[in-house]
Amino acid sequence: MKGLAIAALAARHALHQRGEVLFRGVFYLAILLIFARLWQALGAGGSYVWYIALTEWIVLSMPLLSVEIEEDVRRGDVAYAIARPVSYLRVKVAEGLGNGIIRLLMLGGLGGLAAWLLTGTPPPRGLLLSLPLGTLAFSILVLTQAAIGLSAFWIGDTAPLFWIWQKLLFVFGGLMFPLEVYPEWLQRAAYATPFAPLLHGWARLAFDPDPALAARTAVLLLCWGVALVAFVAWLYRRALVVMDVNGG
Amino acid sequence: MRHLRALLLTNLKASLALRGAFWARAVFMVLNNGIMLAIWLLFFLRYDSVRGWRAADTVSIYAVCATAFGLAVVLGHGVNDLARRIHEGGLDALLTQPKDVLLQCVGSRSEASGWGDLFTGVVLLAVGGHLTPAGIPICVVAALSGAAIFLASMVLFHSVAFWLGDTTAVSRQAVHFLLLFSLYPSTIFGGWLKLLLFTALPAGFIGYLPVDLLHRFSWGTLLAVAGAAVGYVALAALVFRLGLRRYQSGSRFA
Repeated sequence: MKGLAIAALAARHALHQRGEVLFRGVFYLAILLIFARLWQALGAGGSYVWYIALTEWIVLSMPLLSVEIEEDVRRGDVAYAIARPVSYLRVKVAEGLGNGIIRLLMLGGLGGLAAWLLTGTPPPRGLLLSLPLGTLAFSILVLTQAAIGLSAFWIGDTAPLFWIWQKLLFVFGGLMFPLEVYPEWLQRAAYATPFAPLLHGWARLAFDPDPALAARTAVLLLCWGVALVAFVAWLYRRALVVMDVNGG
Repeated sequence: MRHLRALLLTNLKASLALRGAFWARAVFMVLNNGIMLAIWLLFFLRYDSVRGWRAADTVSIYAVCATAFGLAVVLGHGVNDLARRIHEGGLDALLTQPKDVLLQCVGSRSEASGWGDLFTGVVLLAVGGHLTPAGIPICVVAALSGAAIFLASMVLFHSVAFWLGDTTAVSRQAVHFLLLFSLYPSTIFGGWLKLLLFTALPAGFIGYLPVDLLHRFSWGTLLAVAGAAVGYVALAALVFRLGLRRYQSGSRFA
């Protein structure tokens, strides 16, 4: 319940940060415009633009949780935060999710409208099936950001780790291009990673609303989610031990 | 020049002070660039060209932009904080010094990841076969003019703070846009968008024209690229100077 209250508070706070959502929104529009031109030049259909509108939707809605945690670690603020009666990690994740929900709602509306106007084609028929799974994938991405942020306890500067994780997500998740564009060997490799269900897995459901495929994607996402929760919890416990040693 | 050299050496020493972080940022930036380029190369395995734009053009544009951007952030990453310093009165300390305020501010920081960009750019120029005796001078002009235009644009975007207050986020966003548009095939842009890319967001002068220069050298293109660099730098210096007249001290210690 505490987590919910913190997420609700963060969501209310995010509602007032219109400027930040506006910047993300303008960037989102620029990307959609570029890709609409690119696919137009190749004579491809509007579905490719709708695809990137979906994948970029959750990537651009993500809070920069890893940067926030790194800052807390660097400034030593985390030492004060852990004295509170609610877990620091839980607070950060709840804040990230609360913030993210507002961005998902705002950018979702903007992206949908832009994709419709740029392509002239209405939303894909499986959109309603893919969106809930997209939101689940978003929650898992927030957790991965928390894991990267917690690595600051050992490596200090998390930016390089974030860049690589982000770029692997772009390639194996199929952020810019659907995985079908890749050669077959790479498609197989991508499907074996956790990145594919996080972006391509649920986004393709919008164009291929097959219930069996949706169930398979949901199971995959849940499995990765549970594994990540366990990993982040373990990482947090280790981080507290490291902090005890440093602060002793 | 002596002052500039001293400023650069001091910044380099400061970045190298945290040796581990320096190498991590530089090496991971190389990987980062490599992955982004790989995505495009995979795309071009499927699609032969985009209105005549081929994989080799993408390698060249990444080479030119990475070199130019790397140079810009290694030499002048201080510009990244310019809008905030203008808004918070952070130029006070520089105004009392006998050297040029803009130069001091721009050269006050160096970004370690820029070395990774620079390395990526040079390797890609070599891979593209541009580092030949005839090609090296063209690469140098392309990289230097690109870096100058990057820095000048960043100064322009951040100088808006003299008139509009704290524009840090918008200014940085504009820089992201410039980088974003610089790396895509130029053949997909036309009309008003092309005009924008050769004026307010000069991605055309940073990426597209230098790539043209590398592949089909012409004196006209060379003049256009070099002229744009001189023009944007002069414009940035002028706008900054005009803005400085409106600058009010932050009175941070008052």
